[in-house]
Amino acid sequence: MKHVLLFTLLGSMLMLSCNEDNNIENQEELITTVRYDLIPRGGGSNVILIFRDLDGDGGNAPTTMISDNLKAGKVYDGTLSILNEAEDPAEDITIEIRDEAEEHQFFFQTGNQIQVAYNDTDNNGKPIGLKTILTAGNAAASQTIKITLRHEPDKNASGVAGGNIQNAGGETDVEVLFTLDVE
Amino acid sequence: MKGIYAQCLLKVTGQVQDRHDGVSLEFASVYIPELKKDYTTDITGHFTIEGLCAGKYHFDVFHIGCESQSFFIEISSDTMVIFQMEHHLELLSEVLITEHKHDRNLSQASYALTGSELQRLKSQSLAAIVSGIPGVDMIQSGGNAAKPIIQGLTGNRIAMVSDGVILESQQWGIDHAPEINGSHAEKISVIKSSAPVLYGTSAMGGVILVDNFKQVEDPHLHGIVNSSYNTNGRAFGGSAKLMGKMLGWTYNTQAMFRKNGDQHTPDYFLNNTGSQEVAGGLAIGKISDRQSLRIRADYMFQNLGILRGAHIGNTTDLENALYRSVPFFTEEQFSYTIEAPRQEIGHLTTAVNYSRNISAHQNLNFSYNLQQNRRMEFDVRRGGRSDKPIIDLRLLSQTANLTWEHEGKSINTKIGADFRYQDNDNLPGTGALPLIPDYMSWKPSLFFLQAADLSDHFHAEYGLRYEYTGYNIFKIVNNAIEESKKKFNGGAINLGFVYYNDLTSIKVDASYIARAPQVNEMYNSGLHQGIAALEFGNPSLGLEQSVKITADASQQLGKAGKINLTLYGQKVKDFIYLAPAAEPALTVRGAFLVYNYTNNDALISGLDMLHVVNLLSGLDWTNKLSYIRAINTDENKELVLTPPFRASSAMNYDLALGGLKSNSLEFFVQWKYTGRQNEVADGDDFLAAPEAYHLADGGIIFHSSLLRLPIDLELSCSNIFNKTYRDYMNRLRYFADDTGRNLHLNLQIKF
Repeated sequence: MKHVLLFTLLGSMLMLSCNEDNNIENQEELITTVRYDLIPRGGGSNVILIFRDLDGDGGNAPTTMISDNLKAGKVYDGTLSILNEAEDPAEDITIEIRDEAEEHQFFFQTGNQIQVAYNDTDNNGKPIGLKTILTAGNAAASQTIKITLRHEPDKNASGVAGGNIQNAGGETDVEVLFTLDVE
Repeated sequence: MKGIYAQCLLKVTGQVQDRHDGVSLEFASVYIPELKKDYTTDITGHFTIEGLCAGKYHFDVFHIGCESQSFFIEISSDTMVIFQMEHHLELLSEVLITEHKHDRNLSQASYALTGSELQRLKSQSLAAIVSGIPGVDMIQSGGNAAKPIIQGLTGNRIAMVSDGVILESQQWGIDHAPEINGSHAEKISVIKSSAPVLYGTSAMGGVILVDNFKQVEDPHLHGIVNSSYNTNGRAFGGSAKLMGKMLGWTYNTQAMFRKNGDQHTPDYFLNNTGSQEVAGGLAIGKISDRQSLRIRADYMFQNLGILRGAHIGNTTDLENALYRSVPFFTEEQFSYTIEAPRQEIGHLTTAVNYSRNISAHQNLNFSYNLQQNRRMEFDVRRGGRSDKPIIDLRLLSQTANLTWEHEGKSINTKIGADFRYQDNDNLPGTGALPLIPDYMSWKPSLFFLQAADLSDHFHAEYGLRYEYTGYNIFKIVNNAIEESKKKFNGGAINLGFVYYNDLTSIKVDASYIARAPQVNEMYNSGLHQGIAALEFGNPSLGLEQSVKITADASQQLGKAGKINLTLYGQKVKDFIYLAPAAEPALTVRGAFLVYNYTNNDALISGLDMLHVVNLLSGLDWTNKLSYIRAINTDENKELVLTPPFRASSAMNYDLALGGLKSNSLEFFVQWKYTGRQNEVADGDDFLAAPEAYHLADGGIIFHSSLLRLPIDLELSCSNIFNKTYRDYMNRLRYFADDTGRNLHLNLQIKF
C-alpha cells in the first residue's frame, strides 16, 4: 500500500509541475515570395514578376504581380530572388539555395514564344537557375512561365541539366506560375 | 528416520489435457528435473508418480504438437494435477468452456494468438502479428509504420492494451505505428466487437490485448533467449526474458533489439526503409492470498526510415511519383543507414496495480499509470535542417482507476471509476508550425458491468459507461495563441448474450457508443507530410455515435473440424473522416490537395470466417477469410482505405521424431489471397486500387532439446515465389512495389 501512495504522489507532483509554456515557433523554411527580375539587354524597361503569399499555406490566397509585358525579340538577363517576407527585415533564402547549389535546381516551363537558358553552374558544373537568360520570341498573348525549384533533384538524370524537369525527382520547394504577353 | 520414510511415500496422479477442448493427451512426457525421471501418459492421458518426498518440483510436460510447458508445484500430500497444454495451432477463438468463467469478455467475439502460432510472428510489428486474424487488417506506410485495423476501424477508434495499460500515444496519424512491442508476448488477443465499457469509447472498433509481463510464482530462474535473422532487409535481432522470484517478489524482465536495413522488392531496393528498435522493461509483483501488488516500467525506442522516394512536395511531385515504375532515389546499394524522412519515437510506460480482497467475494483494485510518448519526425529540409525534427511532440498521460468487484454465485459485478489526464506539447526547436496544437485534456469516467450465468447454457453481460472529456486547446493563429475550451459528455451501453453447449457457442453482442472528437479532428492545421496534403480540423464537430452488432458462432463439425463465423454491422452517425476538398490550395510550392475533417453517416458491415480441421494425426488445415464493406451512406460511396477481401489456407504438420519425446518437426505452408478493392471509386484515391494477388509462405520448425532445455529452430520463407505486388492498404503502393522474398531464421531457447 505504501508503494501505491508513493506512486500516486509522484504522479500528482508531475501533473502539477507541467506548466504550460506554449511557444510560437519561428517558421524557418517559410518562403513567402518569389521574385524574377528581367533586365533587357541593350536598354528598355525592366520586367519584374512577383509571387507573394505572406501568410503561408492556407489563409489568404497568394497574389501575383507582373510589372510589364515582354518585348518581342528582346533578350533579358534574369535573376531570381527567394524571400521570407514574414520576417522583418525579410530573410533572403537565395543565399541558402546558393550555399546548397548542388542540391537545388530551378526549372522554367514556358509558352512557345519564351525561352529560358541557365546562366550559372554549381561546383559540379551543373545548372542552378538563379541566373538565367530569357529570350522573347514573336509577339503572342498569354505566354506562361512556370518556375519550379526542386530540392535534391537528380541533376545527372537524362535531360535535367538541359532544363527538362521530367526526370528530375526531388521535392518541390517552389512552384509558381506567371502569365504575360510578348508584345 | 521414520518421518523421512513417511514423507517419501507421496503419490501424484495427473492428467495431461488439451487446453482448448479438454481432450486427454496420450504419450505426453512428464519430466521431473529434480528426480531426473521421465513419465509417460497412458491412453487416457493419465500418469502416476509414486514414492515422492514432500517438496517443490518442476513438471516439464512435452507433447507432440504442443508448446512444451513447465509447471512448478509444491507437493505436501497425495496430489491430483491436471496439466493443460497449448496446441501449436490455436484452433479457435478462446473456447469459452475451458476459459475462466468469470472473464468479462465472454460475450465478445475474440481471437487469441498463443503458442507457436504467435512464436512464428513475433519478430514482426504488432500490426503484422495481429493481421493474420480474420477481420484484422493493417494500414501501412511501408513495413516500419503499420497500424492495426479491426473490422474497418483504426487509430483513435481501437484500444491497444499492454498488461492492463491502455496505450496513450499519437494514434491519429495514419503513419503512426502503435508503440507496443510484441516480441515477448505470451499471448496477444483481439476483441473484435466493441468493448467500450471497460476500455472506454476509444474501443469502438475493438481491443488488442498484449500480455508481455506474466508473473510466475516459481522461485527458480526461467527465461527465453531468442535471436533471429531475415534476409530481406538483412534484419537481425535478439531478445531475452528472465522470470523468477526473489526476496518474496516475482519478477519478469526483458530486453530486445532489432535492426534492419533497406528492404527489397523482387526488382529493386527500397531505399531508406531501415529501422532500429530497442525495448526493455521490468515488472515485479508480490502476491499473497489477500492482496497483490504489481509494478512495471518499460521503454521502447524506434528509429524508423521511410522510403526516400515516397517523400514528396506538392501534387505535381505526387503525380510524377505515381507514374514511375521504380521510385526516385532508388540506389543499387544496400544500406543500414536511415536518413530523413524518418521517425524517432520513445515511449515510456510506468504502471502500478494493487488488488485486495476485502471479503471472500469482494475485491478492490487500484491502478495508476504514467506514459510519456515522444514523437519526432524528420523531413528532407533545406539548410542542414534535416537533422532537426519538423514535428516534435511530447504527450504525457496519466490514468488512475479504482474498481470494486463482487463475485456472486451466478452474477459478477464490477463498478469502477477512471481518470485520465493528458498534456500534449509541441517542443520548441522545430522551425515549423505545429500540425496538432498543444492541449490538455481530462477524462473522468464511471462504469458498471455485470456478467450473469443464466443457466448451464446461457450467459449474459451488460454494462454502461459515462465518459466526460474536457479539452483546453492552445492553437497558433496569426502568430498568436488562441485558447479554446471544449467539453463532451460521451459514454457507452453494452449488452451481450452467449449460448453454449459442448459443440456450439453463439455470442451476440450489441453496443452503443458516443465518442468525443479528438483534438486532431477538431484542430489540426497545416501540411501533414504523412498524407502529403494540407489537413484542417473542424472545431464544430460533435459526438460520433455508433451502434455495433456482432454475432459470433463457433461449431464443432466432428470430422469436418471446427468453424467460427463472425457477422457484424456497425452504423455510425456523424462518422468523422478526412474528406478531400474539391479545390486544391495554391501555395508558393504549387498546388496542394486539401483534406478537411468532416462527418457523414457510415455503415460498416462484414463477415469473418475461420475453419480448422484435423485431417490426419498431426496434420491440421486452417482456412480463413474476411470481407468488409464500409459505406458513406450520405454520399453513397465506399470509404477509402477499406480493407479488400482476403482469404488464406494453411497446412500444418507435426512429425514426431524418434528418441526423446520432445523432438519433433513442424512443417507449415500457407497460401494467401488478396482481392482487388473494387468498391472504392477510382477517382476517390490518388491511384486506382492495385490488382488482386496471391502469396505463398512456408517453413520448418525443429523442436528439440539441448541439455534438457527446449529449443526451437525455425527456417521459414515468406513470398516464396518472389511475387511482385502492391497492397491496397500499404500507402507505399503509390510509389513502389511491396517487398519480395524473405528467408527467416530463428533460434529460441527456453530454460
